[in-house]
Amino acid sequence: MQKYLTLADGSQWIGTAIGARTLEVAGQIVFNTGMSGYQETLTDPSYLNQLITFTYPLIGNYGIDPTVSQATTIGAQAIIVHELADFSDHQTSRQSLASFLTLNHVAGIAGIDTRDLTTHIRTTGSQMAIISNTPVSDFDAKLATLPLKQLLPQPLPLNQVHTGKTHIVVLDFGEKSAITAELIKRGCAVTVLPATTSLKVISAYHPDGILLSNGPGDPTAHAQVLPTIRQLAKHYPLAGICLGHQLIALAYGAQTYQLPFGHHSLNHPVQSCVDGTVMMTAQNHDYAIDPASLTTTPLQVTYTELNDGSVEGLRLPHTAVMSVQFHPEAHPGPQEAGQFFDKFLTMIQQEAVANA
Amino acid sequence: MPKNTKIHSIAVIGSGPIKIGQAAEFDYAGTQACLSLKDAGYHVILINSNPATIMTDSTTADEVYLRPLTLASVTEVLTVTKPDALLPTLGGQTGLNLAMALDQAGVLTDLHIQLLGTSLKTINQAEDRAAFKTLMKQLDQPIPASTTVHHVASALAFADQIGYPVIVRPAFTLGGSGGGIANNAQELTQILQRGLTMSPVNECLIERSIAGFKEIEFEVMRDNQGSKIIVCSMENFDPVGIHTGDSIVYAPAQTLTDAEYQRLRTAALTIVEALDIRGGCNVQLAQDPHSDQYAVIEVNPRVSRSSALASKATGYPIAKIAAEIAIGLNLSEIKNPVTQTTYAAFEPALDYVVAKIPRFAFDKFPTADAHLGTQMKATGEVMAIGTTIEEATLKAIASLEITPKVQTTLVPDELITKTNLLDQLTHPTDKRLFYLLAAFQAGWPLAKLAELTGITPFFLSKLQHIMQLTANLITSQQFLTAKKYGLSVATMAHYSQHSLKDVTTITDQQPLVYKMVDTCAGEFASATPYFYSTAFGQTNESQPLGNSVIILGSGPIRIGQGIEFDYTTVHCIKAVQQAGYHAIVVNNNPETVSTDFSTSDKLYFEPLTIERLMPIIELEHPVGVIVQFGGQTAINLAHQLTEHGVHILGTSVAATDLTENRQVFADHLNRLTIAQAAGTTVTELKEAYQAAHSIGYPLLVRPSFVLGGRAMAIVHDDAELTPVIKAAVAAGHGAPILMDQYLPGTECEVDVLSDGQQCFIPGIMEHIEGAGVHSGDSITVYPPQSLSTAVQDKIVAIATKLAQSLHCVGMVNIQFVITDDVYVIDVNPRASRTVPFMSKVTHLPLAQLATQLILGRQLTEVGLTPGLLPPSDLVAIKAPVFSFNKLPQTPTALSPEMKSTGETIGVGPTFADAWHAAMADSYQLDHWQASDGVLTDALTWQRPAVQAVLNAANVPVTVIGPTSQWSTPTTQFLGFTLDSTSDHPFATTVLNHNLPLVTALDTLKTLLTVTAAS
Repeated sequence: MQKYLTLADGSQWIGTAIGARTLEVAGQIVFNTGMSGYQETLTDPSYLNQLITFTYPLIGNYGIDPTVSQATTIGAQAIIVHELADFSDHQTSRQSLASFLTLNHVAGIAGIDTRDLTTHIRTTGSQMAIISNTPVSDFDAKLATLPLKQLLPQPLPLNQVHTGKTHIVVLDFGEKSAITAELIKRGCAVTVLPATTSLKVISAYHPDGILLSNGPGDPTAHAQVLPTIRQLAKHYPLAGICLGHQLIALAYGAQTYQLPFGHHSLNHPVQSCVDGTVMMTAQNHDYAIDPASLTTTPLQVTYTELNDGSVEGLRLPHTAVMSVQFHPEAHPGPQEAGQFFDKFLTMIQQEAVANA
Repeated sequence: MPKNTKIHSIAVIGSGPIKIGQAAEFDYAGTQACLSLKDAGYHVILINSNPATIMTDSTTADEVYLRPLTLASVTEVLTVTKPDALLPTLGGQTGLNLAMALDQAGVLTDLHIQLLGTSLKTINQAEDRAAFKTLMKQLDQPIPASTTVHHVASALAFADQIGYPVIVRPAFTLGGSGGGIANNAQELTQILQRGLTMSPVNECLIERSIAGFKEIEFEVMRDNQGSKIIVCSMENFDPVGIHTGDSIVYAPAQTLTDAEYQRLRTAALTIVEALDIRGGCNVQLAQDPHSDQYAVIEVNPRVSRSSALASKATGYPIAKIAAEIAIGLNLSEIKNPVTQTTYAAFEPALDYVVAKIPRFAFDKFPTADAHLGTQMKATGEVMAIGTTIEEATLKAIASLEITPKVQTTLVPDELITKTNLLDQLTHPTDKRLFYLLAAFQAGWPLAKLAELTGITPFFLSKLQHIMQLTANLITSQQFLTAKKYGLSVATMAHYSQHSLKDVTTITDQQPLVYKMVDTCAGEFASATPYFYSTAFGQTNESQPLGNSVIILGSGPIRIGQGIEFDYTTVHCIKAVQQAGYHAIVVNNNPETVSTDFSTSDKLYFEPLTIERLMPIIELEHPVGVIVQFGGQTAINLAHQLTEHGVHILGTSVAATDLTENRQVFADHLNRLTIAQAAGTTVTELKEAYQAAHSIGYPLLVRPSFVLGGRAMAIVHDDAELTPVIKAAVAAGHGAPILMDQYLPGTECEVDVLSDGQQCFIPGIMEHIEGAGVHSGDSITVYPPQSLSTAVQDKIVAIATKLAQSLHCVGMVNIQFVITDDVYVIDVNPRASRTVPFMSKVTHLPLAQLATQLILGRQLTEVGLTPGLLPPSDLVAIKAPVFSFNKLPQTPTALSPEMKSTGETIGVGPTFADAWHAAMADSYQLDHWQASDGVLTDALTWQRPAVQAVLNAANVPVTVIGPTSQWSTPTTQFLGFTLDSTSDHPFATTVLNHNLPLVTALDTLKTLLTVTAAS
């Protein structure tokens, strides 16, 4: 069945329905240039209410592995692909991407000249888009009829005693499960708490360190948590990833801005301000920290993106606060940035020694 | 880090003559690297013995030494030129081995030459099996357990310990023959007994078998501060067990989950870090399809065939960046030449699929063992870009230049039975892809094919899809879908019973569009002039350049059409640009300089077929198309292009046709009173007998319109005629077969540059081997050593008369036999294999000059004086290089069928000097002396002519009888045989022992004469 992709600027592409075939959806359209990891990308909560265009033309080649989803529910509204693979024989695959989309009520459109679409987004900027069953005549009217998704707040977990392990509380703004997995892999105990949890409640969990997770959308929408972040920084080693990184910046008075079409890929070079070395990172964000606004804050830049110079890492000198814009937890993407977790855990140990 | 200012001059070692496993990719890499070193302000000194390379042009390096790649000769060059540094990682294995030898001989220390790029310690660690094993253990990287054995007992004990199946690899056997996979002790005993006997050193390697794993390659770059990136991942269609050079390869990896991909990527980076690589490195890994287990296969710490493929597949110029790292720069300081706005420190993102299919020479060597294994056999390769696996695969098939019928039907052109299907699927040859397609056509289930071949079912599903598309061509929607997935018009016509014209009309609704290769999947604006077509897209990104000339390349490298034609293509591009036009190239060979997007103003990486060319021509509206420099590939397209109204620049298609129509051409020569061998054309056996009897034996028989003397033979009697005619009919695809009186005499040839009125002849080349040996396999001498002035004058006169009468504009190659008179035996109105050699020898850019003539200039306007260029005082020799050791069961005796894969040059003040230089890299005779002796077989020795030559030379001769068991020869014997059969033990043994092998009497005669004199 034919499906229509219409952008806010009026441009239109026609393709074939995949996934939840009759579902009509709307959201911000973005493109992702990763050549692997479509499942991790699709299940990343940071893509809440976005339409993900995959620039790699074949998507679904190795099916769906139930163990690698980054969240139990899918925040993305739809995927846009050139060709959806309907055959996969991979040993870890339990179902096809097509049936996974259907079961999770995610819309999709295939047969699109995704390079054409990507070039369009790059030159006109990220914008709202609608996937519909019939051509869209009045974009705004149609948009108003299509619902947005919300991430479901998780209940407070049990307060367990973690002897002998470093206990990290992750504040969940839309966490990818790989963050927890990376911490557990390094011997930590992890408790995931809702983003709006108060300092008092967090303290009751006796964490050794706090990590502000990734999450979707504009960081300025989370103004209510900024005071908590400042308090947390005074009491605990604090780290932030992606949205968490932006929130730490906002908490200390910096400002953020929207990138023209975001960073959504697995090949972003990030350069260390210390030794100039470059590593490949996975990135997924539409907002970035304004470097000029940092001059009036106590924050120091630790990493920058090599190509556009955007702020990729921060630290608060003389304190145990550090953050990165990229995704050290990978999944999908290169793994070398995982050293961030090691640094965070070292920092926690040093704090513990200093405070002992 | 800024560039290294302590050094000023850098020596670069090339890879020498083209051999199987070491081909044009090193010219591409070397040229790119030399140019970037020059750009950075260094004085570049180049040593390479292969004249047919762009890297040995005086514009590529500051000083070029066309010298043998031996320790002595390279040492001599380094001693004279005193470079500050040496960059050894651009010349393939040859370059690395020489660098190691120079180091071991103390040359680098004595001359204070610093080694740039990856260190020798690293190279050794990567190449030495034991050192590599130790390093992998340290890094906790899994490698298949292995050991070397000399006895069955120790092998059985080892296999018991590591478990079956195990792979047996005999040491130093031809093409790795004698090995195999053993599933149990009984099989191991059997294989090992054979393997130990066949190995000249009675040694076999026993290795845990990972056959059936997915074979994955990474091209890695690492800089001086340790930043590292993956330029490209590649996944072999064929599982581990078939050499990656012989495998169909896709980029990027297609069937790995992100978890698998990242695990392998991290392994590759870990290894490259531990090796302290500075520059490019190839890492090959294997992924178990049934678990998350993987294994490291090998590491190549240099640019390679795979790095050339990765460069073309991504647009990322690996050799250029590697050279920049070698002079001290880091990835974060080097601009990405594709986007020109971002940096080289990133991993290219592809938004298309790349397919590489190897090109084999088994069409020329039907008796050679075509089974694929761990030793590479392909002579070249094609690459295609599409937006689906089907499209990329089908475009690659269209580029292969194999039997057109196979390219159309997509199945083998032979009787397909269940038995031969089973055999072909389980014992893969070069035809396996087509047998797989045939099996799907016959309805074999995918699961069964996966089980038989070990190929990942995902890839098989794509082949199945292709055959489904061919089986469903009724509605116009089905035709459009088929076109979207890359099916050619011819294939659709064949399977739908529609005419080509009808299919074209139906599918025109879905025009091809051109997409850019930009390294970043559209994320950044790029202006790369590098495009591919797809029918699965809606917008075209290629803007016509205007005022352009389209130049057709020569496609995949195969015996008969080698790197020489890429050389001439590149020179044509330069001249077109200098004349003020935009040069647009269409080609499909990923190994070459011509397919470097920075060589031309625009590159279309496309099959060289009318179907793919016409839309480009319609889009670009070029001034014209040049077909003279792309070998027979381009010439063969000229006719159809003209029929489509395309303007061919240079010699007219009518003139080309005239030279290719036997009877018309004979009449033409008669009118000009030019002597020629009596001859005629036939199309079937009965006619052939009649012709044979009227002309008289011996006869030279060959199909028209084929390359490199394919299916060409000398026939002495009726008994020999039948098989030869049958083979020629098969090879010629219905084209007439030429039958000529065989003239035994001295063969010589000229390349002529003509503006249509006047002719310039850069030189006459004389062949050492007489008529009857293909000119490509002959040792060629310039200037001629035995031709009288009168004969030379006559050659010039005939060549001039012929070129004028044909109104040749551009180049024409004419071959002669000198007996009692000067006979014309062949005329090719295009640039020939000898153009690079003559360009190097005369220091004239012949292909560029010819291009200027093609573009309308007069001979005198380009500074050429009509007539023969007076020869220089130096003697130059072009000698052939064979790859017999890679192609078991190939006939080795020189004949009218071309067999060599490459060439080398020797230059000197005397014939003997030039001879010695040329023999080093060709017949590997740099150490042989007459006193070392000649080894020959009884049959060859029986020939009186052979005995006369050997007795006269007074050299020790050892004759090997058919039943003699020879002990391992330790001295520098020279093997000599005239046995023309395909599987003779004498040649095999000589090759197994890596001894020089001479297979023509004229070669031996000259060798003995020169050796005796010096």
